[in-house]
Amino acid sequence: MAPSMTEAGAAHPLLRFDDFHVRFPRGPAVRGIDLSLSKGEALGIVGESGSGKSVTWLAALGLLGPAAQITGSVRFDDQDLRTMPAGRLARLRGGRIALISQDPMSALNPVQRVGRQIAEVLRLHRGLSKTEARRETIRLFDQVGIPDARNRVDLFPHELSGGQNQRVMIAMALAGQPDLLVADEPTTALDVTIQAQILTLLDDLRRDLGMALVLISHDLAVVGELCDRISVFYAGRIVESAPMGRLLRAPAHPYTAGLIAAAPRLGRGRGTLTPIPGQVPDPWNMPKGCAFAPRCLHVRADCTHAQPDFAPVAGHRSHLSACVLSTPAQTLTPEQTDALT
Amino acid sequence: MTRFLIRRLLRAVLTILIVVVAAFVALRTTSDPAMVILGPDAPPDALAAFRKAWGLDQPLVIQFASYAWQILHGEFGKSMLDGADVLQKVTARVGVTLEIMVPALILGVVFGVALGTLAALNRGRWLDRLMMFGAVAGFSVPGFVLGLVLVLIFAVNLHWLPSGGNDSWTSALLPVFTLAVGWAAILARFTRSAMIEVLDQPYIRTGSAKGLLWHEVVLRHALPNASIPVVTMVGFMVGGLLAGAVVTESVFSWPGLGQLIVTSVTSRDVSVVQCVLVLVATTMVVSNMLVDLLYTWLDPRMKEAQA
Ligand SMILES: Nc1ncnc2c1ncn2[C@@H]1O[C@H](COP(=O)(O)OP(=O)(O)O)[C@@H](O)[C@H]1O
Ligand code: SF4
Ligand SMILES: [Mg+2]
Repeated sequence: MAPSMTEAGAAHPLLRFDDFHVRFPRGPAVRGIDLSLSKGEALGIVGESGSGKSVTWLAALGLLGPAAQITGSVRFDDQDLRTMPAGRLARLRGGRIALISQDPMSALNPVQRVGRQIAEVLRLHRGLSKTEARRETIRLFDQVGIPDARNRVDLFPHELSGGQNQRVMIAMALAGQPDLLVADEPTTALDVTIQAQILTLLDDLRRDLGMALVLISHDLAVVGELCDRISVFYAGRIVESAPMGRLLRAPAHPYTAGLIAAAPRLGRGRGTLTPIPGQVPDPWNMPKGCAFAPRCLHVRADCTHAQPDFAPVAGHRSHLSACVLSTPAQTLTPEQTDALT
Repeated sequence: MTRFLIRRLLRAVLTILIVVVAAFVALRTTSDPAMVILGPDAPPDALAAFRKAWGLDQPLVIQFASYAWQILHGEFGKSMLDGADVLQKVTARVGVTLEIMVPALILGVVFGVALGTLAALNRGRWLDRLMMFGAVAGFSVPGFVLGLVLVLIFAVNLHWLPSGGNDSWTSALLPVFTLAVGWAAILARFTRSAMIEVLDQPYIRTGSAKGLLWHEVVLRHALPNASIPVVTMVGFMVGGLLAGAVVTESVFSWPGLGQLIVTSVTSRDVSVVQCVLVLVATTMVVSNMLVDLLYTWLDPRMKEAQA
C-alpha cells in the first residue's frame, strides 16, 4: 500500500510498520500491518484478546523467541529494527523505546528491591553511578506519584499494591528517557479506580515529556480517553484506523461499531451493552476473505471472496477501513482520494 | 521471624533427642553388647563384670539418664571395644570422609548447575536432550553399581588406580568421581527445571525490555532466582553427606565414618554407634535448619509467609 495513503502527516514518522507479518508454527498471528506513528503522538490500539496487538509490538522489539517468523519491516527513526544487530536493538529497548505490560506484579523480579530494578536501567542507559541512580530513582518515584518514595525504593514487589507496582513499571520505563512508550494493557490487571489514576498519569507524563505513547487495550473506552488516533486490530490485521473523535462518532467497520456498542462507557445512550457474538478466529483457522465475516451482521457474498482493501473511507483521508461496505473509494486513485479531503 | 526461629530450633532439638533415644534403646534391646563383644563362649562372670563396668546392668532409664548427662557435658565415653576415646575416634574418621565428600560435592555442584543451566537455555534442542539423557542415566544407576563397575575397569582390569583404601591421592579418584556423578546428575535435572520455570516468568521479558543483553538477563535475573531452590537442594545434600558415606566407603574400602559405622554396628561398640548417630542426626537437622533460614533470606516472599 502506498505510504501516502496509509497515514496523514506521516512524512517523518518516529515508527513505521510496513507489511508486517508474524507467523508462529501454528499459524499467522499478525497478517500484514501498515502503521505509522509520529513523535509525541498518542496512538490507541484496540481489539479483542487474541487479535495480535501484543505480538505486533513484541515482534517489533525483538522480544519473541525464535519460533516467531517475522517478515516485512518496522523502522524506528529510520533504522530498520529487524535487520539491526541484536546488541543495538537490545540497547534501544528500555532506552529510546520503553515497554510496560499487563501484570505489573509478575513483570517485576520478585526477589529484588524495586529501586534496584530501576537503578539497573539508569546505570545501563544513562551511566549513572550507584548513588546518583538512587537519587534519580527516588525522583522518578515522586514523578509517578508513589508516596514516601525514599522508603518505598527499598521494598520488594510483593510489599506494594498492584497499582503501585504499575507505577514502578512506569518509573522504570521513564528511567531510560524514551521517545516512545508502549503500554500493553497497562490497567487490565488493576481495580477500576486505580485504572483511571494510571491512565491519567500516563497522559500527563506523555504531555510533560513529549514522548509518543502507544496504548494497547481490549477496551475502547480506555484508549478513547487518551489517544489522538485509534487503530482497530482484528485477527492480525488493522481493520479500521481514524482520529479518535471520528472513529467513535462514525465508525466505518462493523467490528468497530460492535466494539463501541460493547464498551461500557461508550454505550451511546442505548442503556444496554451488546457484546459481539462469537470470537476471534485462531491463527490456524483463519476464514477466507474478511476474517470478521463469520460474526458480521452485514456480511455479503463478496465478503468471503477476498480480503477487503484497507482504504480511505469516502471523503476522509485519515479514516481508513477494511470493509466492502465502507470503501466505495476502492476504485479511486490516491490523487482522487486526496481531492476528496 | 524470632518465633519462627524458636520453633525451628525446638523442632531440631526434639528430632535429635528422638534419634538419641531410639538408637539407645534399639542398641541395647536387640542384642547384648557384652555377648557380642566378649563372644558367645565368654564365662558368665566375665560377662557380668563387663556389664557392670559399662553400666549395662542398670535399668534402661537410669542408663539413659547418665548417658544423657554425659552428652550434655560433651562426653561421649570410651569405646567398649578398645577403650579409646569415642569422640576422638569419630572425629578422626569424619576428616577422612570429608576428604572425598568435599571435592565430590564441589564438583557435583559446579557441573550440575552448569549443565542444568545450559540444558535449560537450550530447551528442547539436541544439547538439552543429550544432557538430560546423561543426567537420567547418572542418577538411575545406583552409586554402588557405578562404583563397582569403575573399580572393575580401572583397578582390577587396567591396574591404573587402587581398588580401595586411602594410601595415595589416586585412591580418592574413583570414590570422588562416583559421588560427583550422582550429585551432578541430580543437580543438573533440578537446576534445569528451576531455570526453565524462571525463564518463563514475565520478569525475564522485562529484563530484555529494559535493554539487557540476553546473557545479562540470564546472569542477573534468571540464575540468581533459579538458584534459590538449587541452594536448598545442595543444603539437603550436605545434610546427608555423612549418612551417605556408608555405601560409598564400603564399595571403595575408604576408611572413613561410613566404615566406622559398619564395623561398630556389627561389633556392637555401642558408644561409638551412638556418637556417630548423634553426629549424623545433628548435621542433618542443622543443615535443614540452615536451608530454611537461607531460603527465607534469599527469597523475601518467604518472610511474609512465615510471619
Ligand atoms: N509465543 C507465542 N507462540 C505462539 N502463538 C502465540 C504466541 N503469542 C501469541 N500467540 C498467538 O497469537 C495470537 C495473537 O496474540 P496476542 O498478540 O497476544 O493477542 P492480543 O494481545 O491482541 O490479545 C493469539 O492467537 C495467540 O494465541
Ligand atoms: S467486509 Fe463484509 S463481513 Fe467483513 S466487516 Fe465488512 S460487511 Fe462485514
Ligand atoms: Mg495482549
